[in-house]
Amino acid sequence: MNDDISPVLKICVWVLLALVVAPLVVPVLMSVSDTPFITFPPQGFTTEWYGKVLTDAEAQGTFLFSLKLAGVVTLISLILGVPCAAGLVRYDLPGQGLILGLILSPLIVPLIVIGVALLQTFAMLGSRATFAQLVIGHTVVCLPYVIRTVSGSFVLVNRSLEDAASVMGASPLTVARRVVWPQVRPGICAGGIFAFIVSFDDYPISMWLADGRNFPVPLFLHSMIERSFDPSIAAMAALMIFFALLLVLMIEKAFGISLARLIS
Amino acid sequence: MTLLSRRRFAALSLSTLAAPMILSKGAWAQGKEIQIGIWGGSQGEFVRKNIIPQFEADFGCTVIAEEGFTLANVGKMQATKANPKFSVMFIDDVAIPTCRAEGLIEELPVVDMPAAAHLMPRFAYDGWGTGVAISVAGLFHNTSIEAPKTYAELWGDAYRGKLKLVSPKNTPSVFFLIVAAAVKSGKPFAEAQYLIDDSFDQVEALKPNIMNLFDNGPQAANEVAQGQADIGLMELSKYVYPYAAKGAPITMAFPAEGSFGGNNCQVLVKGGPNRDLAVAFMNRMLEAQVQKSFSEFALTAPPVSGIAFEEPTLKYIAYPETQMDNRGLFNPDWNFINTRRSAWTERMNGIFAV
Repeated sequence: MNDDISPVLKICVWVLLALVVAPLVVPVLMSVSDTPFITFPPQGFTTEWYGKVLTDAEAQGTFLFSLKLAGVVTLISLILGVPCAAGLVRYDLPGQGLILGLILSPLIVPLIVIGVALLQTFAMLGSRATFAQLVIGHTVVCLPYVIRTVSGSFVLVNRSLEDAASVMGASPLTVARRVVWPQVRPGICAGGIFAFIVSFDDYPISMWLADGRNFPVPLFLHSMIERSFDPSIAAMAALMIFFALLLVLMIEKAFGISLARLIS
Repeated sequence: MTLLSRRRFAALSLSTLAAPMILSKGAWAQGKEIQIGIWGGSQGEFVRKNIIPQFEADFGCTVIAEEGFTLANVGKMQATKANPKFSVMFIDDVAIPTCRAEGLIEELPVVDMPAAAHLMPRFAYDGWGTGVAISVAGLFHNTSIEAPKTYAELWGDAYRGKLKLVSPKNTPSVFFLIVAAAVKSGKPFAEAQYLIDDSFDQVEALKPNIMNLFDNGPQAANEVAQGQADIGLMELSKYVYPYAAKGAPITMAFPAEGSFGGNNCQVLVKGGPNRDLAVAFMNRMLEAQVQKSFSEFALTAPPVSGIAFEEPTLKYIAYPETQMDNRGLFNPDWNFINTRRSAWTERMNGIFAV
């Protein structure tokens, strides 16, 4: 199949890939600089900044908190998003366009506006449950990613296979498990990954809703940049890049999703 | 059998009566909780790691600190005005008139704040807030560069494409506008601040010398330390001196026209939860021992008088009060400026956007 791709297209893809990946290399290089401040190109070589970040209780706390937050948000986004996407694709609902528009609106409205609106709403309700506020805020933002991705999978499901399975005597549950699930699984996994990463990286919503006890990684990074611009910030950024890469590789290993299928 | 003398009996009786009061220092605050909005950066780090834990231990209370910056902190007060979530908010002096006008803050009960007795009057804000940390705003430059003696020199060809200018969205950009007005009119800052509207041609004249705009002080300081630009203007010393203290090749310069005070303040949120505890926390922030350690950590000057510092710290801060005067530390008329700032921001964006 690769033989069908023209050399020009191959070059274009590699150039594009380099443009996307190159900026990610910069913090990785800066993170090993043996200077008390960030410099590029790096001077000397040390891994002490990684040690500083990995042994810092505050960094560990925020990282674990972000993992917990993103995990809960991903789960809720999938629980809400998958049935929603299935319903929107498979049924003709009254006001379907309006529902879809409302669900996808967080992609259009600036996140900072959503954040302040949520803060105002929670304040009026007298809510002091910061973690729940963050989960709700992040879910609002992550849900469109899940629904878009999962909808795409449901659209591509071959309905004839479902009919054939039913004719052959399979129960609706069996059809869902043995016929539909294998076809929508890549979309659901991709949606879950998107939701996790969007929540893990979110700054504008968290900025309004977080507090000292519930402090995600992006806010911690911003705080570190203001404190002192030393290479530990680059080390933290590099660790986040490695973590995202590891996540994709783990999902690939566990669910067998090839990159080509993710892209489709 | 031991007999008690009348004097000893009286002393014991008094001790017994006084014991609950002595032991209950802060007992009224047991179990209470307040949420406060603080700054990020090294100041926020110190407040969270040093000041709050001690305060919580002394009063048996909980203080939840949320890091932010002036604009965000004011936004949070506005968003939660109907049902305030915060009790104390840290903001810059620039925002106090706005907060006061919008009814977001209340006048401080100074009688309940004994530590405010040593507050310098210039940082009392008519009782609507207090200073907490005072920085000096000026130029920052790579140590390999000789700093200009006057701001006017920055307009010269020698600095073509070598300057980093603070973004219009940051407060120090107002200091730059005052500088431009002062350079054009030849008047001191106190008069020049009222001439900004007529000085945008002077602002535009600096454009060829501007390499780019920055909105993150520590990052800009880092870039100048690396030699990516010669000079940055304008920024607060609290973002620059921590690098200098670490050995980075960067320092600040305060040209002959004078320098500006960057005043970090605290305000009491109107209708905020547990007001009494909030006032106690604000008082704690002004106590001499807290101010001394806070200033030494963040390299900012305290707003209270009577604190003795060692030479290494004094090198970086404008203290005592006479030093503030000697350096010509200018505090702008924020009431005048705030009503015009959005229009000035638009004009600056128009000049530097392309």
